[in-house]
Amino acid sequence: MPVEQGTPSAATTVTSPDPAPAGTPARRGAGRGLGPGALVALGWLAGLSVLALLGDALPFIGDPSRMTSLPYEPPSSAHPLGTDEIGRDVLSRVVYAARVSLPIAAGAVAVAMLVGGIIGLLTGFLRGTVDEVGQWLLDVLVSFPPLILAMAVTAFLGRSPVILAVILGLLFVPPAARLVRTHTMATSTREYVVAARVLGASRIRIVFREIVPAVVPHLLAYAVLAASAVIVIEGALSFLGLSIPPPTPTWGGMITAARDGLAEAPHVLLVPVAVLFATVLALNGLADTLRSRLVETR
Amino acid sequence: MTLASVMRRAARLLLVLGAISIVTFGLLAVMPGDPALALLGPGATDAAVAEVRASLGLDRPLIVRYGDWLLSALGGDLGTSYQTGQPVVTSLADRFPLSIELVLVSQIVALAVAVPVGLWSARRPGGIVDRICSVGGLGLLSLPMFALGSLLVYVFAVTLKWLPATGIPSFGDDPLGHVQGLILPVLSLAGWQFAMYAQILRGEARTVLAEDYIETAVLKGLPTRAILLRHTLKPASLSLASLVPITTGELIGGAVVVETLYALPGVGRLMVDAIAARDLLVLQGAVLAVAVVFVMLNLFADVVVRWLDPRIRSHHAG
Amino acid sequence: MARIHRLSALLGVLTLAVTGCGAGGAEPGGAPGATGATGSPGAAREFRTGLDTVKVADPVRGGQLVYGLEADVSAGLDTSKWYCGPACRTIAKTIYDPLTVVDSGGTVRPYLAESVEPNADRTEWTIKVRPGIRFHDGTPLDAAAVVTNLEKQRTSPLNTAALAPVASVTADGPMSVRVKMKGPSSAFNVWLSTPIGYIMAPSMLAAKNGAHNPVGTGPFRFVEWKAADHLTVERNAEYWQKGLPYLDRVVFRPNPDVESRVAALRAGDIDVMHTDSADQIAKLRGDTSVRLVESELFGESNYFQLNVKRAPMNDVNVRRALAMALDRDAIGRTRNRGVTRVANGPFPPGTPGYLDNTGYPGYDPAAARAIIEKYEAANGPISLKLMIPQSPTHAKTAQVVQQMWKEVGVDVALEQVEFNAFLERDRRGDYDMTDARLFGGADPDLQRRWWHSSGASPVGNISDPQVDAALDVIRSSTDPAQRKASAEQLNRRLGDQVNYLWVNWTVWAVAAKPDVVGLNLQIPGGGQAGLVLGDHWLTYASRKR
Repeated sequence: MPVEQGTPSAATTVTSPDPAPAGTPARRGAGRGLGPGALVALGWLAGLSVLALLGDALPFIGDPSRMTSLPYEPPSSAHPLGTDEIGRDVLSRVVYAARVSLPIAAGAVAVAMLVGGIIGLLTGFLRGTVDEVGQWLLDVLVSFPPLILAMAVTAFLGRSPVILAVILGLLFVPPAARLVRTHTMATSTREYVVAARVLGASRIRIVFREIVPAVVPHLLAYAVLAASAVIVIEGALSFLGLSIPPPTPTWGGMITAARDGLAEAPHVLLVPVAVLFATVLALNGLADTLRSRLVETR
Repeated sequence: MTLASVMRRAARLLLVLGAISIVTFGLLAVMPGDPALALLGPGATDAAVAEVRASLGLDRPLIVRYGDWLLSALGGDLGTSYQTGQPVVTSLADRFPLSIELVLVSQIVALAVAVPVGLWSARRPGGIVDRICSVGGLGLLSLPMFALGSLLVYVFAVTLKWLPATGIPSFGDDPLGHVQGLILPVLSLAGWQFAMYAQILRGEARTVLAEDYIETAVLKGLPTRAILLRHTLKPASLSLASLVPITTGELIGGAVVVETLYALPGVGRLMVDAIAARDLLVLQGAVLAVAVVFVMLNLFADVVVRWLDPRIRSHHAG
Repeated sequence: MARIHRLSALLGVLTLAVTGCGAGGAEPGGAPGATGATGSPGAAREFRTGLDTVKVADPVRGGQLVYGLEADVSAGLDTSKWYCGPACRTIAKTIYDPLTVVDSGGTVRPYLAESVEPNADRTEWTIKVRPGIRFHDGTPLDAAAVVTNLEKQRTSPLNTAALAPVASVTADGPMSVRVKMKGPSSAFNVWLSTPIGYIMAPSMLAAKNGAHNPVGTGPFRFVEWKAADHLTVERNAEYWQKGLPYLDRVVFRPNPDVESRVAALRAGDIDVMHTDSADQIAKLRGDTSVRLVESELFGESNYFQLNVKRAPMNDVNVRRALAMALDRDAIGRTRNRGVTRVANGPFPPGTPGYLDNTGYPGYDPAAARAIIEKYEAANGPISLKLMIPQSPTHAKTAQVVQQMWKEVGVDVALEQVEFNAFLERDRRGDYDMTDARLFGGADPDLQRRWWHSSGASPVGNISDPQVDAALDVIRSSTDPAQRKASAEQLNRRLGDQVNYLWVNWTVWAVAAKPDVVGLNLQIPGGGQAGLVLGDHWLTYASRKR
């Protein structure tokens, strides 16, 4: 068993904003302003949203459900990104899909982080009976096969984007809650929190002033990964016929539907994957920036 | 761990199992569909459906059926499958070992790669290693499992013919074949996990590396390796320690895509088939077994978290 | 005929005496070793099989075959107990022999039975059992065994509809069985080629877990089954067709994902597979490393079923408009990659009742639009739901037709329903339109339970005196010409009433490694009514030296 050498929390105090010594790697890039990377990321997300909102008001964008050509056509002047498995324009579909995929991802992540975050905070901070009940709830939720949950919910409540966001969000509640609980517990034992407690700060104050700011950066990194996972899992649901009914395009749905033509028309798969990839990269870049600023200002 | 806390855990496990069994039973019962239809195929007459339902004991009220099941389950008998007529316990014993092996091996592979990659990326954020790893990792995350799997199959099975595209012979029959068969499914599962873990660890490690005591260590002239492994890894692993057990549990019953792609008789397919056939008791048994694994994994996670940060204790707990 | 059929003329396996318009032609050039009608007669052994005369060139004894199947046989192989789908039938026919088989011309031949003969008015059938045959457990095949099987089938909830006309089954001597019918029944011998006529050992039927320990008289005997993993059969050395089978062993591996099955074939994990996926067949056609045999003979029809009890589908004009909106040529060309042919009724070429023109409405979007506009002006806008099973394949087709209907002004929403729930709603008639595939088989009598108003299954959703009359003639008439005329009349009536929107006839294909000899067109499927035609090609298959 290694000795508890350098248990990290011991060294941190509430006020540690001194500039990093030159050569300490982690401090680089956490400077003022947004930096070019974050700007590009913001630009991509904004541009994508604008494209999606404008839809067929734009050149080259048409009705995403209309079969205008043969299946699996390679890119051409009529179809800049080729056509899909039944001859629809891939560019139009990938743009329109943002209208569904982005809100679903945002909604699901919001559900997961809010619900998971609250459960995690409560169980990690209060411990005791609340923790027992919370863990019990999470164990039940996490052990229950998501597929049955999705089947049952969609069978009775339909398949609107809101319902899908909730279903997909629920999948990420247990990990988010566990993550927050762990960091809440770790933060609660830190000197500055213990000190605040001794000094008579109210519990609510401790949670909001000390613990939440310390936990959020950890959750943020996970949120980005969850967002990409949500979009991909939506694709799995659409493969199983449990997502937004066709012909409404979603990125996940496009990716899974492209499977049949993987060999002869890889572009049908690659286009939505690339757009998703770029979006996840952008989100990740933003999260990194946000995170370093949060850590810095703490 | 005290006897009291063991008892408390055991009680919680029972409560979890009870709740899950009721929800599973209830949901599958209210969902449209019928086990008789799966057995009789298309075009079954009403009389035939009624006859089969009666022969399966499905004509009794739901609460009676649940009570019956609960009583025999407490005695260790989880009932028999409507489809195969086999005891549910036998099906579970057939399917779980492969799923658990698959998931454990892929988690080990994912962590074995993610830890060094994550730490190394965190050392120089924005450096070349970091860039490559985070772009590559996020790329893997954007690729659904079936796409990665299909790609691996195409390259290593169909084109190069180094590895089989489907199936894993049992270790006893064919040890080499067993290992070969595992490789592609494990890689398909581990790809996604690796990307997730590396990203998380990288972020956490960056935070830790910004702490003052690391600066002290740097100033003291400790080698990078020592800083990363001895001073950074442990404190940066809290998030992973919380996430890995949950993901592990989710994959045991949730690796349907990989099991389907590689035609493996795992728990995921067992559950999907059981849902399709409305084979309630099989589903019930599988869900409960997964739940047991989950509760154990969470217990394990708590122990690991406490080891990583010994000041987290259960002193608040009642 | 524009489409070239590729039937069993591969690698020295010859299908001679091919009749009917659905069969014929040889493997178009390219595949090495495909010999067409020339074969290698010197070394060939010739068999008069149920299907046709088959010559197997230079067969090799020994070796095993791994067969990738789309489903596991979790409910077991007792065909009197539970429904036996294509995967089940593929396995079942290696273990059991059917009493009769149907050849590609539609002629019923005795197989395990020595003869199956009716009396003059078809109210009684006599089955003479082939002598000297033993089940795999050593018990003899005799009249008593056949009676046990048929009685078990008759009292099974599976067959209440199919075997309703049977009044009694009795042994009429040690090797003779008499089946008395409630009325004239001229196609009973066809029914005996379906799983109803697969003969299982009485010991198996009596055993508690018999379904999972099947015992028959077939070319292979059951060895073991491991759920979702494999089912193994091995050569029956005492098979009644001397010298057969050639293979020592066949291992069936369930693999529900067709993409993965194709990959497994290409990687060499499995030796053979079958599929009805047009996408996959199109891809396999271009693969020179794989042997492919295709057939649509006696195959199922793909169609959309309209719920004629609901408005607006209760209006035959609206039904016609929905039919006229569908460009079935385009569906065949694009969605089905040119693999399938446009269907005009439930009977593909080669099946009694097939017609070049059934009167079913052709593609005419302008006329369709006019009808729809007229109907909507009087009754308000039409808004329909198309219920489809949750699968990417169905979703793909459904999106194509959805757009075609949209073009003529009909809004159709897609409703994806999990398969088990789909079956239930289909039974209850709780839908506007569904996507379906049914009606394969060599004789129209097999469809009676779907279409006759007295039929027990609500799935066919038809109640039409003219259809009933035609089906009654088909069941009772002793005159083949009259039966055929009735089947044609039935076909025309369905085309005129448009209860079903025909799309295409199903093409089944078997794909195998190049060294698999003996691929034949006895492909599973052949109708959900439970017909597998002919004897099993695995009986004659071997591996090339």
